Amino acid sequence: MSFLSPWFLLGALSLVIPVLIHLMRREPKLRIPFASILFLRRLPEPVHQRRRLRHWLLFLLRAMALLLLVFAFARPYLRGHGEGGRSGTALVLLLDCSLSMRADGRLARARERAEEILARAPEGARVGVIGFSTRVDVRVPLERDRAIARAAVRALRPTFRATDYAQGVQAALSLLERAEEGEKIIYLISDFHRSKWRSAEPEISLPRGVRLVPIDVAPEGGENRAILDVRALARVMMPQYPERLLVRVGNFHRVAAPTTIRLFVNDRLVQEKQVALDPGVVATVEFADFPLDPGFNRVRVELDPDRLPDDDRFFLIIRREMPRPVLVLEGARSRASAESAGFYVQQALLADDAFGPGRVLVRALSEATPEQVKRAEAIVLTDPAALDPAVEATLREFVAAGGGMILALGPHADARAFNRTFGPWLGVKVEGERAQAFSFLTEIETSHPLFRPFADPRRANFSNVRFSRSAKLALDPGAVSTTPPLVLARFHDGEPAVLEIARGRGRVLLLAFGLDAQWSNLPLTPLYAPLIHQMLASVRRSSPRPFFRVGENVALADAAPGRPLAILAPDGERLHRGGEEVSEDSTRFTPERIGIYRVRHLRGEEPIAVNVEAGESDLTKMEEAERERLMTAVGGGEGKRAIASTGEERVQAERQTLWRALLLAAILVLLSEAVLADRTVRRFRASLGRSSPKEG
Amino acid sequence: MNRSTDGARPTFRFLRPEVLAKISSLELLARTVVEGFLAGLHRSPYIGFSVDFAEYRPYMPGDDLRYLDWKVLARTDRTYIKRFHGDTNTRVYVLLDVSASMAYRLPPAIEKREYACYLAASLAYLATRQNDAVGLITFDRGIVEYIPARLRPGQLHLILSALERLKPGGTSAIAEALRRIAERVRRRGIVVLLSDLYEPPDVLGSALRLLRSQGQDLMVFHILDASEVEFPFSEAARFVDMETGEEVPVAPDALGAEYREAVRRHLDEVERFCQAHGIAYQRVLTTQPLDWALYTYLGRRAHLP
Repeated sequence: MSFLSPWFLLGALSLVIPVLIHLMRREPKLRIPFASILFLRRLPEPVHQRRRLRHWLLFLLRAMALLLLVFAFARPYLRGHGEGGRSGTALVLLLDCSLSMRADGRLARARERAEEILARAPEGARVGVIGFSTRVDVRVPLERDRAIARAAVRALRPTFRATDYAQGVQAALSLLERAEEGEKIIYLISDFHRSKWRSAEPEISLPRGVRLVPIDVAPEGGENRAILDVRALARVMMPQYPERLLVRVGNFHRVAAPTTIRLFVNDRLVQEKQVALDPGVVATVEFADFPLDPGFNRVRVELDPDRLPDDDRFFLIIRREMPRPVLVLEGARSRASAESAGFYVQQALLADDAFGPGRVLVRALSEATPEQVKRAEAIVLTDPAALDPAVEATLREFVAAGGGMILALGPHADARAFNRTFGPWLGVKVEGERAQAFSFLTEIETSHPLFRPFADPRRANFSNVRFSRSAKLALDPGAVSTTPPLVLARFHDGEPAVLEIARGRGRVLLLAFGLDAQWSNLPLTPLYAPLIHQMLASVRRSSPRPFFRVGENVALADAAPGRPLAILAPDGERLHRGGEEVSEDSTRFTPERIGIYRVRHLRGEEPIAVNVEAGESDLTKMEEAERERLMTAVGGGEGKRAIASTGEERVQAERQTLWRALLLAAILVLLSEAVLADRTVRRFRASLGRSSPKEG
Repeated sequence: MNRSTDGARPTFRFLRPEVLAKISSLELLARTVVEGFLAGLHRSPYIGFSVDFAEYRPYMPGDDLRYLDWKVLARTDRTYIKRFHGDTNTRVYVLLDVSASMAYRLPPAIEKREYACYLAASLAYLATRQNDAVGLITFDRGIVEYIPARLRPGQLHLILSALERLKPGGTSAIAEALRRIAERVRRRGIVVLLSDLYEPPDVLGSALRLLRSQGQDLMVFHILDASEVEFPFSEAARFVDMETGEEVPVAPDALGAEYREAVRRHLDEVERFCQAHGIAYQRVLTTQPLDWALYTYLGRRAHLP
């Protein structure tokens, strides 16, 4: 048995006080004038006689009551195996540092609980400290020095990330794997909001010998309002936002919560809406027709702040600029323009309203300039022929910087020029033409994004697409490329038909057939237009995003080519290369704060909006029964043991509730003492009445 | 009045001391006690301790016929009773302890000092009535008041007045006081000591022997409150010495028996000493009527000339 508040045991010393009073200081109050004390003085050791305790039972009752009270206040608890005194014990304090822990001082409570566990941990036990969210931060690997563990616990700060129990528990298990034989306990200190734990359930499985002790630090009630998501265009052309900006607002209150949603553009309040959200409802609020400035627009959506204000704000960057065109370069034109590959591609692209007339540029390869290539969103090169070296170099840079290119080897393609220009770069050579009547595509990789929409044969039947001729492609193992081409489709005889080749940060889609109707009937089938769109989507540079979430990996080169000069956090802090958020080569960074980051380049500054990680706003606490059920599942083969672990907190609480029994016992003893004392006093008063002399 | 034949000596029930205390005049009190006492002694063998004829008086119904002067009756045919004068050569000194301890009482008993006062007054009255020269000496650790023994009119009044104005004294030192008294009282007589005798028996004995060696006929009335003997207390208390103020915490239920035994030994030692040295000793409790003391006195007086 140990005590939570052992200092209270000093109170037991007070037991000496009544004894001392009784034996040393406390004289009889009754004074009886007597003729002479001659004979009383002669009595054998009268003082000792007086000091003798006469009401032993009364004294014992009082002493017992006092001791019981002292022990009750010292908060005794029984040491179980979990706390055990074995030096082989390894404890891991797994503290939830997710966004939800920012509410109501939850992390502070978690730290307190962790320190309590540290204080109770047996001597010699090794303690590890891990803070986790969707990122695991092993602050202290198993360490015997409590001071280090305590300092690490105190240094933990809440993040803006979501919770990932599976990852946290896995990290703890990894630590415990290195522990020597002995008891291994993971103290999972969290607020256990329902949604996250549910998702983690199937991923957690405890090995034998490891116990998971959940410690809940969430207060009752989990009311919160939050902006869960915003749907917005990242790039617009018009001065007015052309569509509806959709804001998903969740009300996790138990009552309806009227609130105001405000939309700010470049810190100007442009629109404001009052909404009454029913309890437990996720509503969508629309904003439209708000003005935008040219260039980057810092957009902020805000709710009235509540207990977790970080998810009541949402940041966006909307660019108002002209879109980049898709550049279609025709290597050779042997037919009328209406039958050229460029024509078919242009028509296929224009079938989508997103592509206005100015967004598809069809040019002859010989007329192409490097500037056109640089400004293009994607490039479609049909029937490649000899290239201007500058254009060739620009094309390579374009792809290496993340651009996408579709290379179609049609009937007019110059194989020699291709092999000279693109062969070594792509690792593919054209070995001539193949003439095979009625060839068709097989082995289509429907798992690839390019062909994924065509996975359902009822909707897309490539068997109707016939190829009479095709280019014979040969992979060149001696090419400079270290990334081999990926064959996405083959002809029926096994020759590659569609290859995806990654170069730099971009991709090249190499087709062994042309995009016109000479070698195949593809342009004449309903598959053509969607296939062109899919090919373009799969290779072109990723569209800018209006916002990122905390913890996402942001490629800085996507935002602007070249290394950034500086990255400034929302609070103005300059982020260092290789630090917590920025990679060593400064090409990527992982934001950990919410707000607008600023990435400075030679050509200017680009803002990046970052918001809290999704899924943390529903603070509704998990029911204990539900938690136990899940813990049973987590325990796997040791389900019962896991249940026991689940109940550990309760068992510990029960172990610590000895004070209640002691207090009750003290009350009973005091009641007995009161009855006995009353009787004694009555007898005493009666004797006083008999023995006290009365004058007069 | 009741008369009892319990024991070798008769006991008489007079007014209880607490009733006597309601009589404001000490003289009246003494007369009440003594006359009542004497009236009850008409069968006593101790009458006629004086043989000197004093006068005749007409017979009254109730007079003892033994004192009827038959010769006169024969000569004059009238009934006369002969009355005698007692001897006046006996001096009676009443030594009254007025120390603070004599003020003790446990209700409903009266104070030992009061009781001793009544007894002293009664003895003085009785002695005066018997034509003895009576004196009074009050003392605590020394002589407080000294009234020499004389037989003269007003002597009794003087003594009673002294008794009435008694004030509680200080600490007692009986042995020392008796030594001083022995220096003052040189002529032989009866010395009646009224005290609670809170002295060690050997010290007390040496002082009594001094008086005895002077030829004094000593009578000791050891006046005690019943509680001093029985010690009826039960609860722990601080017992305060009424003379010195010294306090002793005592748990009576634990030490009562030992106290009673100590007192009993003390009383026995004093009594044995008195018996061994021819000193009349009478233990008197303040709850007892005064006749017992008077009886002792008269019995002792009868042996004197």
